[in-house]
Amino acid sequence: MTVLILAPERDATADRMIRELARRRVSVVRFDTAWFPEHVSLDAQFRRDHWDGSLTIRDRTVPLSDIRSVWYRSPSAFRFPEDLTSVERQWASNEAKIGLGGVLSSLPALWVNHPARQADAAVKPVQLAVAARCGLSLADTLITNSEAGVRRFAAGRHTVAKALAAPAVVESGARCTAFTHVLGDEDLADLRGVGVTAHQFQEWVPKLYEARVTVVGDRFFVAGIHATTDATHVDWRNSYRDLKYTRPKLPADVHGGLLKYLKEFDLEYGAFDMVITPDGEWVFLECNPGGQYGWIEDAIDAPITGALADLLTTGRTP
Amino acid sequence: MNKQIMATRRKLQRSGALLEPAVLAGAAATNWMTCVMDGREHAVTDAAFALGHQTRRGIYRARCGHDVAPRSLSTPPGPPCTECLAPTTDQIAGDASRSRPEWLRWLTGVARIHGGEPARSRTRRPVALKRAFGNESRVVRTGSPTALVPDPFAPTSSRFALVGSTGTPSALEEPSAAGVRPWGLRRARPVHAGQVGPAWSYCLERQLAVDSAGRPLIDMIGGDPSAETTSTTDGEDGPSSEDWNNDD
Repeated sequence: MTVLILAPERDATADRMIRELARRRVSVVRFDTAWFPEHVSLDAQFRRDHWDGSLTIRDRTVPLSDIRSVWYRSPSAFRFPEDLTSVERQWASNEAKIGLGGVLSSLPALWVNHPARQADAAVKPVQLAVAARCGLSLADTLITNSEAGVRRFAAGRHTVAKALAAPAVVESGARCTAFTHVLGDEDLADLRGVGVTAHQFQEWVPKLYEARVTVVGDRFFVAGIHATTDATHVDWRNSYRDLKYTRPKLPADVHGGLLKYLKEFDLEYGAFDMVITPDGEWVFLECNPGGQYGWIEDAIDAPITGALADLLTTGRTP
Repeated sequence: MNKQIMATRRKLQRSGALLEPAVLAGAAATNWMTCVMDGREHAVTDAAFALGHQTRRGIYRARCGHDVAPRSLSTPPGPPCTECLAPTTDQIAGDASRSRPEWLRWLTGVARIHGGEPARSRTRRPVALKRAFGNESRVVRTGSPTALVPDPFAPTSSRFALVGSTGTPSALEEPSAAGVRPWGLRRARPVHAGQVGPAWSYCLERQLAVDSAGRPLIDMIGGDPSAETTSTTDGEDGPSSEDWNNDD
């Protein structure tokens, strides 16, 4: 039995998992998809009803039949020879994606998480629809490219704007972020640029504190995140130095809703962001299907790596 | 000129405004721009790009010596400048390392796998402008040993029925004016500089990152993120940042 880890070379969380699996004497092979095709060789033949063969990563050869589980940790893009044209490179990439990714996907192995499920689950509007079906509380949300729509939505209530995808861009030679922002009068007075693309606006949820709920299989690790500054009160990503952590108890109905949510998306792992109102209500903000957990594991002393190692080692098939 | 470029680069690096090599690696070593004056595509090295950005004149010195006033990226590119396409002296001599920007040399070093073969030194080929799938998209040879192709396994469905991409972002472009720029980006602000981690390499045998003395990096970093803030979202493509190594 072998655990396959797809991760970039610089990934402290994957490093920690490697050490944990080694401690358990579990066979593990790690590689970055950027090593394909130069340092990774696939030799797979379809026989009767399954793919048979091996994967050779530099000097390690793993029979496909030996792969019990796959941990997908945002591996890097394929690398092809520079001599290829962009057309050839794109074609080669598609072949690699379908060929290498397809063979691995077909194996009777547990994926944590499967990249296809993860990609589907990363779409915020779909997340809200699924969360509602799972009985979770939500904030009123607007997605629009209409200035009039924004003014209508924000009239008479506190509203925040937040990115639908990555809140960061790289421009002017620097990396810039646009985290959650509370709309003021000056924002509503000048909404030029809303029409350029889709924008997300959400009713401000009264906030006692926030929580990051990390779910591994059916095991829950709940971290309360308490902001100590105005900026982190709006968005705790503004500064990790200005946060404190607790371990609140998750209400049973929320527990059930989150499990149902993961099942709907066919996910084995999810990192949920939630707001706890002064009334004690837990409001769903989003779920990061590939969410990092390294810092939260240490912050609340939660054995998340161990739980993931249990899951990967057990290798339950979907 | 080289001294001026390096001085500008050092100044930008000190101010934190210049991206670290790993981030710049996602962009191109040479950018191709169509000049509004002669309508031709010219090659502008990243160093010349940084210098042009620093002067804030919107003019960039091309490899051929032409001063480029870039045309809008939404317009089709013009015919490539033959002088920019020609190999440089360094390329003819086959001494790629001398012609490489400092960060590219660093990148090559990073690509060298601990215990593996040293990265090969390649002659940098003439850069040729390529279009990728859409009228606005431009893919540029990077000059790195191999070229990246994104989305290793992500499904087509994640692209929501789009064929190709809208464009290849350039890390050095300036924000558009209000009204053109998406409203959601108006508040984008530069992030604080993160901590600088130790030099590292990947140990094939142990399958984890180690420092120059062979010690696992995870033995030397705490649980706190290395940066003050994060700037990518988990669940998105590419490495997420809410971890220890978010700003390395």
